[in-house]
Amino acid sequence: MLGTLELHVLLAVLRGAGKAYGVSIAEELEVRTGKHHSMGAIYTTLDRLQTKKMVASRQGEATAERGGRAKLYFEITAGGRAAVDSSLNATANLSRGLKIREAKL
Amino acid sequence: VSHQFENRRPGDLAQCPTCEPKNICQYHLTPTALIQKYLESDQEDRQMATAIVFFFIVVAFVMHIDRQGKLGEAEHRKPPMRAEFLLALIVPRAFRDAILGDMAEEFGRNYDRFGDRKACMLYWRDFVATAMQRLGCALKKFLGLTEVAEKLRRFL
Repeated sequence: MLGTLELHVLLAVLRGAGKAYGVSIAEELEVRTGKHHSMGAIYTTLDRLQTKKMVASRQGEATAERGGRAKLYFEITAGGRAAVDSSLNATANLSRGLKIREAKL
Repeated sequence: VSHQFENRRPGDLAQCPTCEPKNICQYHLTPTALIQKYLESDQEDRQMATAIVFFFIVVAFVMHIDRQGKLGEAEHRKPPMRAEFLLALIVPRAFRDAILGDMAEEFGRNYDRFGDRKACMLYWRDFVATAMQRLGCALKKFLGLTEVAEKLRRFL
């Protein structure tokens, strides 16, 4: 079972469509969840996901803006997709039929 | 001891009923009173006060030079040197280049949006958050303090 941040990071990687890297993942998380995560937290999660073989990484280009350091692009693997699917299904099954928001009077 | 002032106005020497009329109450020093006290103090005290003030001026000057002196606009856009150096020491080697590059890129964006001072502050904030994260991981890995690490992770 995936943790919340793991699931969010996997979804952000999925949205990146092969071009997801640290900054884009952080931005995606901030825009869509409203929470700021430090690079350390994001990379620790990515490291964990890579160990579980749910994401794969490849070196990208270096730019002057980054002080000549190369980007590290992340891509979701088949195992990652399966984990996301199972996690979202579990959430959907658990929440089905529940009235979470109170009806407006 | 409650120190109430009588007829206190801005610029007055702070005086307290329990102190000698001409003396300055040590609990209530206004800037004027502080200068007065400095002028009336012993030579040793005055030297010490001068040394302390001088020390702070030198520190402020060095910090100012660190960010602005001798640097052009392109150099000025670089993240704070010390934070970057410390960050390089604590992040995992496999992701060092990627994390430092990402943070430099983010610094550049924050620089354009908010200016140098706030961009530096945000960089230091991210540095502290990353350091705490790494500390949590280290605790978990080496000391087996899973609960503490978990609490730290949740707190962050």
